[in-house]
Amino acid sequence: MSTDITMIFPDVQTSPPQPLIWLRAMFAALCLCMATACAQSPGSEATTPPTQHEDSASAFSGRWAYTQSCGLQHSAEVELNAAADGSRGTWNDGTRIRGDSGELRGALRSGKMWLSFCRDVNGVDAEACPNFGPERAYFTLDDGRLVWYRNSGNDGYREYLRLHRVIANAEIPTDDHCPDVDAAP
Amino acid sequence: MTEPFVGQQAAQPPRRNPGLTDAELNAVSYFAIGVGSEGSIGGRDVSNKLSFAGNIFNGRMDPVGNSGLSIGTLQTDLGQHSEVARTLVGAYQDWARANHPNWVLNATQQTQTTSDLSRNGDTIVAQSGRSLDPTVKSHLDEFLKSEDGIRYVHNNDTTQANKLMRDVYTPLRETALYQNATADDQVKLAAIVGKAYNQSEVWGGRILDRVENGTYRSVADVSTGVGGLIRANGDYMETGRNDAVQGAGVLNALRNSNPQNPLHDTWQNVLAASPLTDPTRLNQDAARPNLPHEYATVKDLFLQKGEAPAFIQALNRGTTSMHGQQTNNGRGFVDDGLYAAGNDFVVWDRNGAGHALTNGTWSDVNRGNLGRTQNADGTVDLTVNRGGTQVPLLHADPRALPLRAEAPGETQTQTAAAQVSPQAGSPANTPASTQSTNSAASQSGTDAVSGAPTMELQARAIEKWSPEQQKVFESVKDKVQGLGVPEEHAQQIAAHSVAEFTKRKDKNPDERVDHVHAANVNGEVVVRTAYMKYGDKEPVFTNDARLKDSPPFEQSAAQIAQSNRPPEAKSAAEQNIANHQQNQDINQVREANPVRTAEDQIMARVQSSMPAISR
Repeated sequence: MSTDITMIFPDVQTSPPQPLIWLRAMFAALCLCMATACAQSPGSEATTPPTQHEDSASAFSGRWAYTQSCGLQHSAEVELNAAADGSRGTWNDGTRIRGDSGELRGALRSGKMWLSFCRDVNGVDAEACPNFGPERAYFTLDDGRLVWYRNSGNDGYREYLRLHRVIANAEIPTDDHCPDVDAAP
Repeated sequence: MTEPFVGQQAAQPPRRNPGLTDAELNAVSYFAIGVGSEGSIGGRDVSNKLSFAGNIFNGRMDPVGNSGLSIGTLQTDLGQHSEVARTLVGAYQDWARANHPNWVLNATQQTQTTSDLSRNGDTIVAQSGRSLDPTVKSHLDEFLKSEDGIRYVHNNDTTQANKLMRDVYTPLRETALYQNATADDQVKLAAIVGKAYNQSEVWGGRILDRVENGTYRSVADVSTGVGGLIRANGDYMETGRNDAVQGAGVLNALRNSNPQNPLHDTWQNVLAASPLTDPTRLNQDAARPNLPHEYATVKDLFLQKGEAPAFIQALNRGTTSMHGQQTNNGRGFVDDGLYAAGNDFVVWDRNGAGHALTNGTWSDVNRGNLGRTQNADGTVDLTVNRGGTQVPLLHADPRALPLRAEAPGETQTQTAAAQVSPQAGSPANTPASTQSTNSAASQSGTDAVSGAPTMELQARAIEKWSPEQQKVFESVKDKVQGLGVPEEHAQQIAAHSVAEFTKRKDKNPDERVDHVHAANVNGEVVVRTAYMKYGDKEPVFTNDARLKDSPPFEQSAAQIAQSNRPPEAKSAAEQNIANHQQNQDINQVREANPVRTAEDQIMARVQSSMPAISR
């Protein structure tokens, strides 16, 4: 149920019909999104398929982000630039409680960008930048997402996060899933 | 972009402020940063349990980044502080020997538990997400809830608060920005910088450096600086900052409370006893016999930081405020709540533990023992079960006249707090204070009437608005009432819509509203206001307001009144913030013009989904 659109200022009542239709459609889109309880924010799709082949380091290049809208509001961002021997870039990953950041190096092998990280720290840390740790993670590209896998010991590599490509002025879809009952917003 | 901003700041005469006391700064750490952000999730206190930033599924731990297990109101990550893991196990052993001898860990278990607790996220992942022994974890959680455990956790919190005092507030106090700021702004500065430092000493330190070297010239600069540490929107430094700003808003509302507000003495007693007082010894302060109630009430206000400012404001005037999700039959409550009427109030947390101050007397209440009666005349009675009988506790009459006039400065506090966060128009960046106010409210089953004055008072407030604001208000109200929504709620969302519109108009005086559309979508009332310039195919702006997100009428009215004040009546800090936001918006518009907007893409979705839309 909805009320009709009404103009409340006489000086603009001569507006052509197109904007009204457009506005109605806009609102209908909002209703549709809410009615279907869309899991992600109603903003635009923020990904575009990479134009480069996945075996190319440049396919991984750019900014990638993940944001959680609820609970501890986990967010992560990766920026990758193609380099002669793979990729160089920066990363950050954390929650509204604490977070880390640093630099990363990537080496492309069989479609996987194998990663080693260093961390920005104010103290003693074996992996304090510019000292990089061993490779223990990799990125792949899947349906326009950057998928982050971590070395999980005896279980091998397990998926950690799916990041969306950051495009100027486009909204990144948020992860609205908070499995912990205490983490409900 | 910062030129006009800096120039205006330079024109202000230097104004020394005596500054916040140590107790007030400790309150920023403990309550605004700790209780309001780190030691709570979704308004639930999680300080006295082993918390974990990540998921645990089928016993497998999947941490966020390098996060380990953590404890405390100011969360201490045991993975980053193995010394705390060691002392935690030691304290647990002492407690277990005295209280649960069969829970005492043997030497092997003690070593293993200390090692497990000391793991950071990387180590947990490398160990295939292996969980802490579930029995040991449950025993540790029992300890953390005990008096010994609460004291142990609090000692850690005190250590962290002292670290913030030493590493952040002491140098901050020496900066020109802090010294020339108002007390309210000092609270915000301390909260924003302290919170950033707690999240990341590297980035928090960077922000502090920029305050010290004069890069930042205002609270808004600092806020923007934290938001810009990570380029993405909605990143963890931004969400942490938003929490801190919201906590600062509660603290400032308490600091600025009317001396006749019963929360005024409550706050003063908590400050006098020290915000870092041992919570297990609150009942041993002979000078402050009500400290257990007072401390718990203050803590609860920071847990309910979205709703607390309106509640405090209502008590400033001695009027009515009701927030609380009702049970299905409307006769009781679920979740947390804040009720005020005149000089009386009742607060309870998400676990149901509550405190009441009625007729000048404190008492414990439990949500399960509260009864609620909605009377035909619009008043609400709360009763409490005492010895098997429901006895009157509080009578809330939304039409009752306030007991006193608004305290000077209280509206400035709330509005300025909301302005600190940049890019306030973007949902992803909207400060939590505006995002979650009355988040639990809905059309049915929830009281969300705060400080509701008489209709005459509302009318008096509306009379002071511009004709344009009044027109928008009436249009929205009519549309919403046309959906069958009660007038009280219609006024609430209408005032919110006007406040949002006014905020935009402050930045762009050409802003107009010429379209209003209201809809009931799955029980949620949504209003869209838009400005459609003649001949344009796209609206210049649209704004969506949801009833469930709309603050009480008087809160929106206070924001509108604040915006309507003549420029000379606004403080330099407010002017700076407004100028700064305007500069940002101009830049954003410049950046947005060349690209297809997100709305274009929504259109595309609409076009492909039109048959599915029911009208």
